[in-house]
Amino acid sequence: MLVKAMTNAEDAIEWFGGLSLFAGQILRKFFRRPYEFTELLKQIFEIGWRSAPLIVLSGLAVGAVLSMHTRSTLERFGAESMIPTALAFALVKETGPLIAGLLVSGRVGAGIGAELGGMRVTEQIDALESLAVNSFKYLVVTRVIACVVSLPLLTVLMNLSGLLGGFFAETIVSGASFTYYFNTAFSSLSFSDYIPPTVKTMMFGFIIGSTSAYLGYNATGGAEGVGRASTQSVVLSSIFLIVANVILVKFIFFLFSGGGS
Amino acid sequence: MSGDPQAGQKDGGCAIGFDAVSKSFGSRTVLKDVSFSVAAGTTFVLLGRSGAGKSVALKLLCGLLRADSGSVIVNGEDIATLDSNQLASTRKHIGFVFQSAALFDSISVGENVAFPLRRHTQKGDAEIRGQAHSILEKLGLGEEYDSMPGDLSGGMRKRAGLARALAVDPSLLLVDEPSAGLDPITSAEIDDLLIDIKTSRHATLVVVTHNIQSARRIADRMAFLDGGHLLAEGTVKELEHSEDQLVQAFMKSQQGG
Repeated sequence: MLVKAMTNAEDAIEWFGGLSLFAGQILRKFFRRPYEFTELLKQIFEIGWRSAPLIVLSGLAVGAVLSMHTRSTLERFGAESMIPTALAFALVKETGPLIAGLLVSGRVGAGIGAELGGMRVTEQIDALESLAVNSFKYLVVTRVIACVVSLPLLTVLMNLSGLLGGFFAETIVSGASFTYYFNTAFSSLSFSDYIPPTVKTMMFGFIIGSTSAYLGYNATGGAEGVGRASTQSVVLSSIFLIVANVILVKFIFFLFSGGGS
Repeated sequence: MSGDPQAGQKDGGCAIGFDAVSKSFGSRTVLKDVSFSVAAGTTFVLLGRSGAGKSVALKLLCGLLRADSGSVIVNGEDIATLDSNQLASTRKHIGFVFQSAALFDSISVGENVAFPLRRHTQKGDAEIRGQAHSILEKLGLGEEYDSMPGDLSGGMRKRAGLARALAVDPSLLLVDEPSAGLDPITSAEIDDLLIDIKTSRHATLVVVTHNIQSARRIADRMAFLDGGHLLAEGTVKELEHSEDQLVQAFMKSQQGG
């Protein structure tokens, strides 16, 4: 029993060591030639643009539900006028970035894990190398950068669609106007409320991209290995993202003296 | 057995070679002190049973794997001493045809062939498409430029893989199991293509196969690998008269069929 536990612990340490070295290699190669702009733009389109419908729909639903819950709570205190402000704070500071991160982790993490895993087991990565292409820069670095660039933009989209969903839910009940609702929502938000939580999603993007690329790029064992890489990409990048969020929130509080997320 | 590839180079223009190369994966030794040399412009066939280390030898020649010990010589240089830029530069002169063809399944067959041209030449789009189309046409795939790799048959995929490897006019062509999973007629067509490539392009070919009939047709010299050891090396006739019983059995096993 003890031996098994120690072996598992050793495996886990080895795995994390491998992931850390992989992430370090991504950072080292971030700014080195060749930059692979064409592939990068393609990946920003795939990862960012193609995730937009999912983000907008989820944002509308989350915003509407949050608004309904907020109303039922604030009504007890006669503070219905605070609903847009409360919803804006909840979305911008925490809910928007975290849900956008988790949604991208599900959609993109699985995609990267499966795509790179499939390329590995069918020797397409070897084929790239044999054609004098640096597969790490071409496949891994471009996908990670695309995640880092896309996540903040998708978070902004999530926040806006969340507020819109909240507005729809609120206007049905109270008849609040669009201008009143959004003016109230944004009036209390300051730079330190908005920017740090949005910027922190760049770290979410790095975590999702590097974890899923690591699992896919090093996949073994045929179709089963590809499936495993895909599933683990979603599970592990989601867990890492949630854990990193706790640390980043504390860090933002520290930097912005309690004014941040 | 002709061992020293550097010596071979002085004799008759050795393109590539192994000098006491060993390679293991964990506790499993795949190649043990393997040495051979291949003269430029010839076809060298690596024979052996499945799991004998043939494909590993091919990947070592392209620098996709690193030898644990010994030297892998390509164009007179030890591939282990090359930095990543030099290795990339060397690979631009090497074509690799994978057993599974390893076509990029997210782009069309034509774009697979055009891929190395887009990466390594300054040619315009129209010229690259024209060149890719012309290579595909020569290999009987002229109609398949816009087809996706998943829509091709096994033989067509193999030819498409060959077309991609030929796109940058390599001086060294590495071919892994060209007849694996193919019917005898398609297999013979692939053999004809390899013979044509050697004669028309004066390329050096290293072909891995366990198909002795195919090996007899295309090989200038051949070697037999088993359990990581090189049991025999020479011409077809020399291997037929090898004193090693396993080599003899292998050479006779598929003679009729």
